[in-house]
Amino acid sequence: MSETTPLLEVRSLVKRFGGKAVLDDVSFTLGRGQTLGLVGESGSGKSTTARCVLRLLDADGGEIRFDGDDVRALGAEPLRRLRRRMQVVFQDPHGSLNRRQTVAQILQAPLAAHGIGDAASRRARAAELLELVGLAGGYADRRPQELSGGQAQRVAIGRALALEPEFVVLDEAVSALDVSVRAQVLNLLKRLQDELGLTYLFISHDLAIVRYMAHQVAVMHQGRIVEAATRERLFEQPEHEYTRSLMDAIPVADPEAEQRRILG
Amino acid sequence: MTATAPPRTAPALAVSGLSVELERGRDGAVPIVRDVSFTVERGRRMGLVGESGSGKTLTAMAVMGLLKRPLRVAGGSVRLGETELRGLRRRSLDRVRGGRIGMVYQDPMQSLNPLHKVGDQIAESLRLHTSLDRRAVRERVVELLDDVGIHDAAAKARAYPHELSGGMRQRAMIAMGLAGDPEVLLCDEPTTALDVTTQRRIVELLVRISQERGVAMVMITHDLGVAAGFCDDVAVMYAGRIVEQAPVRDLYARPAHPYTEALLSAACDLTLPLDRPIPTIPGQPPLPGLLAGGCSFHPRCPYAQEACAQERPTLDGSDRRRVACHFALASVEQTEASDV
Repeated sequence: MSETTPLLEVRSLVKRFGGKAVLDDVSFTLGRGQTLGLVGESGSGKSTTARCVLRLLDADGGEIRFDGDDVRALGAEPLRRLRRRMQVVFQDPHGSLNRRQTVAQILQAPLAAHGIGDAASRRARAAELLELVGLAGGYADRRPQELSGGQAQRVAIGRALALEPEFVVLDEAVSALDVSVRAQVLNLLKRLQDELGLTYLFISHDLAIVRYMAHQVAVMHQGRIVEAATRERLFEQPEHEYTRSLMDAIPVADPEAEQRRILG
Repeated sequence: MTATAPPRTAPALAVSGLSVELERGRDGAVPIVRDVSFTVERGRRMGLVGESGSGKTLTAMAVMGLLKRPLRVAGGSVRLGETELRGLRRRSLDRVRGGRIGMVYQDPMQSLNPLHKVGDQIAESLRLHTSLDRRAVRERVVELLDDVGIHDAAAKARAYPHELSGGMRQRAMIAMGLAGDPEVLLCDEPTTALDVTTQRRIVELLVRISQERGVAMVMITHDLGVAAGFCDDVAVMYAGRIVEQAPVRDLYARPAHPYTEALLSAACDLTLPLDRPIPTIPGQPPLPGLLAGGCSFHPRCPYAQEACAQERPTLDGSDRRRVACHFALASVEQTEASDV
């Protein structure tokens, strides 16, 4: 596929749970090296959208094209090949890492699973990944429970990058982190995108963080995209009432402004 | 003040020199919260702000007398009006908790019993802490639910917790916290599990309640935006200690502690410049028991000098504005506004 076609195209995606549509006519495109911010409140369908794209869930309707391939129609083997190219980082870093493995083993696991390299080259790759996510020196032999939340999330990001994917879903990937550590991880994600040309689907309930990370933003509400625009346009001229209510609700670290809003 | 002064002159809550430690058998004890002092007047709202591991939640649990072994209060005093809570016998403490002092938690599902109707749980609290008869209790339950902004309160009283939305459950929790007509309400991350639009409405509700009923409130939060809207005064905790305390506007406009300054600049809001990395605090918050000598923040502090590694700065200043830093970034001698 040519470099100019979008990496990901989603058309009229539908997903039902027990007869209830949780995704209703969801469409978007995502260009290579770009970040699409998918923002909305809990239950709006953001994670379900991502899970359908990754085919962790089967959609009930619509079309998903990744680099031209029809994701919904792929058989087991092509799907396995595709999965090397798409990865995901979840919210809870400790929950998603195997407590019995060392950091080095965690980072080598995807390589072993796909039969890539030998023991020595996998070890070298693990060291490279640690360097990449800013954990060089002394972390390889630790276990997840010996890491702070920020360190564990760096390991989860390293693992997601082990197979050199083009596309990474970041599903509330910084939501559980403390303010000071969250800023470090956001900076890391931006740097990795620049260095490796990664394409991100950045899922968050936090519009301020989405503004910092995303080139394009889609606002989801009750299973539908109610507004989609470039970052500049969305934040300067939000058109949908729901987008505006989300923006108005973001607390700012300014007591005067906040208390005026709260006390009316 | 003389001995005959009315009790009102005492602050609603006065915490003084409170310390919490983790018992380690023969290895002694690890200090977790150290020498925490603050007071909250009637109708005022104080924020305890910090990152995970800073000791803010354990401070609240110690105030409530809710610590369980191996954690224990190692020293200090907690006064509710004229009453010292430390050393109070179990039965007296049970009367105070849920009565004169209430608590609201982050996750309402943790403190609401899923097997009982919401109204019955509030009624239980009313029976324990008031002398209302059966019928008055029933009426009061509906009144309380109505007060916290739950529409169709009579019907919602008959609902089970899982039948309510997250925001409604948090409102029901607040109603339960208010059932004993408390002088003090401790709120531990009361909005963290909620969506932003719901978050704002819960903060509004708490502010209104503190104003209308004169309830003194302490909010524990990691969110500087939420604290900005809620608090009259904010105490910033780091590694188990209060490192700075100030009236909310002073704290945000002129932070005196480098940690406060760094936290404020690392916070993401809609004003964050897009073309450069977010300012960060290098390193990680320290683990209890592995604290650096001198000022606990000095290994991460851009302004640290030799003295910071050697001598721990004391928390100095006036009643409402204090800082623990050898090289404070702003004067704490005066505050901008006595009232906000």
